[in-house]
Amino acid sequence: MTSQTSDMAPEWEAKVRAALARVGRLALDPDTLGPDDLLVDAGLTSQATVEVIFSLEDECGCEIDDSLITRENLATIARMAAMFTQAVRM
Amino acid sequence: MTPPAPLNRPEWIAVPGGAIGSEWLGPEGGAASGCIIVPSVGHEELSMYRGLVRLARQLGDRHSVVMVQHWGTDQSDGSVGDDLLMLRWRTGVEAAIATMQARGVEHLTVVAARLGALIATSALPLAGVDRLVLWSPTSSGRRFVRELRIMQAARASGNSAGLNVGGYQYPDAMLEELTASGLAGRPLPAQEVLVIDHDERPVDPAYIAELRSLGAVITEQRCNDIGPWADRSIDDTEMPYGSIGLIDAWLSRPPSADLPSTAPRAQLHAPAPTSNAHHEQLGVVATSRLRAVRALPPGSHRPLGMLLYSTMGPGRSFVELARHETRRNRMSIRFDDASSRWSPIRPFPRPTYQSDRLDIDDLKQAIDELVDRGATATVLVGFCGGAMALLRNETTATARAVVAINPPLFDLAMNPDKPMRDRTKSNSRIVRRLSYAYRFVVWRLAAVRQLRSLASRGTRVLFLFDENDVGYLFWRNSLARSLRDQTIRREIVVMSHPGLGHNLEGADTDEVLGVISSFIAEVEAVDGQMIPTG
Repeated sequence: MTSQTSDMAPEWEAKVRAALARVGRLALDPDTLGPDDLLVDAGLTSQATVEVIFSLEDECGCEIDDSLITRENLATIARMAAMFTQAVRM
Repeated sequence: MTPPAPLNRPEWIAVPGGAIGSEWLGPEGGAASGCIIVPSVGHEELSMYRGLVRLARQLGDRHSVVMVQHWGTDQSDGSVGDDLLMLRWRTGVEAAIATMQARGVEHLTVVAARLGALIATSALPLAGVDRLVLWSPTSSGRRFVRELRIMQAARASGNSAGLNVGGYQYPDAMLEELTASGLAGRPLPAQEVLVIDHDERPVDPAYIAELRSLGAVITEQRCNDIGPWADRSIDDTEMPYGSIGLIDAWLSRPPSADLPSTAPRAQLHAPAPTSNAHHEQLGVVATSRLRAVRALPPGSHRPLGMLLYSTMGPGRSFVELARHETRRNRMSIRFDDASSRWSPIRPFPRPTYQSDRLDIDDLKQAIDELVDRGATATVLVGFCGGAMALLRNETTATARAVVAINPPLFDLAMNPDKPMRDRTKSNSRIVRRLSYAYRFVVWRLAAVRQLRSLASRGTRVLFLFDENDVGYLFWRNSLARSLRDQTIRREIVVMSHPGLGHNLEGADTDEVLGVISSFIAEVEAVDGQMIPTG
């Protein structure tokens, strides 16, 4: 599967996958997911999303601005990676 | 010799501006040690409720225990829309601590869960507490609010109207106040602190360091039953038995000898207020001794008494509805199935979408009480499985109206004395198909027959459904056509409302409660013409 955004943030894509494996409580290996696959379909709960975001924030030493916390930005690995790419540049 | 029955009762605790509810448990004659349980607020107040009751019951075997109901939550006075919420919540914890001290309990432990930990640690500098248990503590109000925002954004069906998580609507003012809240920065009198967290939501190390800098001697434990408990909806809660065992074991240890003892305390009797600002009395109802609230406005009552019953737990919607009707001089009794966790008699119940014989017997006794108190007839308001119990012949004998919110109407075919085996999950495809066919025919016929019977006896019915509720789908697909005459004559009124979820919590709660109140007024107007009220 291709992504419009995945080439913008390959480093963050890997970090998102690692965070999903660590605290995402998915029933499957995050590496089997495409960058644009919906995480909710993979079983990511809203509470687990909190843990993934906080875990990534700890890693980058930044805090995602509330304006970036949208349903779209949390929907896929690619969008989450793009959100963090944007956040660390801000 | 029969051992003495344990102390087990709800009480009001007076606080500035009103009273907060509380549940007391403990050995008869009291105990030398006491525990003050401080819950979280918002959606976690609902999801964690049953686990905290389980903790209270376990600790209540050896300690005096009080579980606090925060201002504006559960049965307490006030609203979460009020200003100075953190101060009000903190004051409530302090009042509970003071009440327990005044009753002669000497060794106090505060057990605080999630946001309750933030509230408790800001209250503690003003009171003497020996030990502190912080159960998956929220390190700051700001972090809690950020969690809420992420959870809302991550939901599959997001709602842009305000912040709503788990069916709980967070007022903007409450979020602003939470965002500004953190540890008070004053030394902790409770030097022994147990912190329990879990892998999925580990406690912020900076928070632990801050607690240590305030003088805490910290024991850290990890237990992974917190997430599955706190993050589920109220009718799908798992019990955090592992964490409860950790807390119980930690409290069984004697306090460290090298820690300074707290000051001696007064041995005063502290009477509890008998009612709150809304003329409400806390008590029990029926032989099951479920926790109940009786709203008994002074003077003569309106002829219709109101009974509110839910199998869903402590939501605020029934509180608001009862108080609205109290202002109109109507008496009411309200209770919910979750309160059976406090009952020393009733066994832990079944899933919330079903009603059983115990429900019906409890309701009959509560209805009898309303009639004994002078009601000429009753209006029954129920939620989910509670609504189903209210629709049965045995409970509608004196009912002028039933308001049923999200009732699983297919349940009208069930025999409450004989739970039916669910064969739709059979391994056999034929059995599954036959079972679905049987359901379609039998469930439909039973529901149509019962609702026609109610209408013919003059009992009006208001159904309020979430637009995606399974009961509403059953109504539309299987019942609406057969009950067309009854709906045309408004003997049965059916309304759907988007987002009408658990406990009616949501942005449109006031509007929905207004619909119910208008319906009751309409019934009463007709009733007044039909029945002499003396």
